[in-house]
Amino acid sequence: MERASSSKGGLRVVDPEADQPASTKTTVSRNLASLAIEVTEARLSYPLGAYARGSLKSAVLSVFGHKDRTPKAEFVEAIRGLNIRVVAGERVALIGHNGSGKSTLLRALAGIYPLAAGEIKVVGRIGTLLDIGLGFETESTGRENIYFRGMTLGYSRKQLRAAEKEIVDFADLGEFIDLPMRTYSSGMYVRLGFAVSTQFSPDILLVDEVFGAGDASFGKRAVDRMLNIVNNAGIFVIATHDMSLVELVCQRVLWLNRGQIVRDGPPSLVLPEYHRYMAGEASLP
Amino acid sequence: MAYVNIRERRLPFVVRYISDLFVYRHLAWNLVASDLRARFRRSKLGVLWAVIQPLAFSLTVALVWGSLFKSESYWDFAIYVFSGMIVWEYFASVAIVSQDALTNAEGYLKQTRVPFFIFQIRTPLTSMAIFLLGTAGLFVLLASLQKLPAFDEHLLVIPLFPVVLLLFGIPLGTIMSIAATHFRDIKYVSQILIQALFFVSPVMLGREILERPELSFLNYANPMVPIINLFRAPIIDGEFWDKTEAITLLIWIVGLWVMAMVVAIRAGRRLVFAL
Repeated sequence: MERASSSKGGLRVVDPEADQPASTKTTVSRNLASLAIEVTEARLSYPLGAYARGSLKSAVLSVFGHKDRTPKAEFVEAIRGLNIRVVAGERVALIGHNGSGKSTLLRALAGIYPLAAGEIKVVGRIGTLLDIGLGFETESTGRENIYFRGMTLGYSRKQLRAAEKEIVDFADLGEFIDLPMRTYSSGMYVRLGFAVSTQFSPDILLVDEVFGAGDASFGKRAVDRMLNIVNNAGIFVIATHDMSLVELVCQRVLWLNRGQIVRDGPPSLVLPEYHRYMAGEASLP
Repeated sequence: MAYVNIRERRLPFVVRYISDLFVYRHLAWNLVASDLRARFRRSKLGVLWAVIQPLAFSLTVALVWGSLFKSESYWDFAIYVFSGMIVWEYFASVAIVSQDALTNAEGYLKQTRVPFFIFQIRTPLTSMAIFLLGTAGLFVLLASLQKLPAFDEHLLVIPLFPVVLLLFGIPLGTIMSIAATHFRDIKYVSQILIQALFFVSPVMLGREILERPELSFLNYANPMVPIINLFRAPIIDGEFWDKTEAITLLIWIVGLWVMAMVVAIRAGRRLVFAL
């Protein structure tokens, strides 16, 4: 599979090689060794849905010194003091209950969710596969949406034009590709989203459980393509409940519980313990 | 409290705004094009609706109000209303549609670290295209009635107006999008306010009414007064911009930009949690 080169760097971020002389920049396609994720004492809390957002009334009254007597906005502490260091070449799985903070951590790593405290340092161009069925212009055709999605991911029109045919082929939507997306089924949304998001190999790939995408035949192609990118990415982090996938792809598992790390180690050590806990045979370590 | 991507240049807010605007210009442009397509796709008259809608309104209003106010001539009043209407529609659509700008962009904003303002400038830009179509319609109307402005130096300020309108619309849209994301009540409150504002703006209201001493405060308190007057001045009245009105509007624009920046910086990316 021929990929559009990511060595030219994204539009969104500056190449780490950018400061180097032009000659090295052209010869070194990606400085993989320097890639890293460094999470220091990270805390993240977000308001509990619409109820916590406060009303206009209370905001106006507070200007006049009025104290809201209803209980203060409730925050969920989704991440509580995490310290993680991931270096180039690592394939990391985030496991844990629903609500343990896996998806939130991924979004924080991608810079989508702001931290309440602490710091996240990332070196590398980030690619994400989170909610890939969302964020389309439904009145625009699938083909037009390839550009929207690609541009949001930071790719230029030129790069996208070069990759368009391949994306269309992979999504395999037939004539639907030139129809407005409101005519699509939900599976077709996911197919197109997956095809665009996985077209380019990022330095750091963050994935939130997408293997259930599409029907069986697409599912298999999706996994193949995914493994291909994983092999090309400098760092790979996936939040998943699929333990066979973890064993297949990852050499490191972070077990999260209530926004904290319970265990950090190779699958062979962490997974048996996790299984025992999930089966109710053991308490949290 | 920090997220640092080493590959991202750390720049002051304003510089980053402009550089991001450049980086994401294709996205912004495509979003606007898609909005326009969505608006006119599947309609027989297509973009003509941008002209027909306010025109039909103006012709009807002129019929009733013109006789009520004993306006000099039907067509003069129709042109007056039409010219006010296309500016008003720009304002109203920016103020109302922008409220959903971030909520509608949830799919993008929760996917990647794309700057919020790309979606906040979306409605001001789309509405600008509609406004320009309306302006073209106005010139066609003037030409067909042989009322085109004399070809002199007054026309020089005409191309400046869309720029001013955009400078007014972008911070307004930004503020509305953030406010409405925080407080869902804004939607209802703003509807009432915008409706009320319509009746104290010189869309249907004759200019002379706003010159009455008891109403003259509206010339400063309601930004739509200078905006609409500045639009009409060169095209209909064959005059340059009024200095006081231009300064009033400038103060509004500066104020809105300051407010938009304060609100946007304070809210930061935390807005994503409210989506």
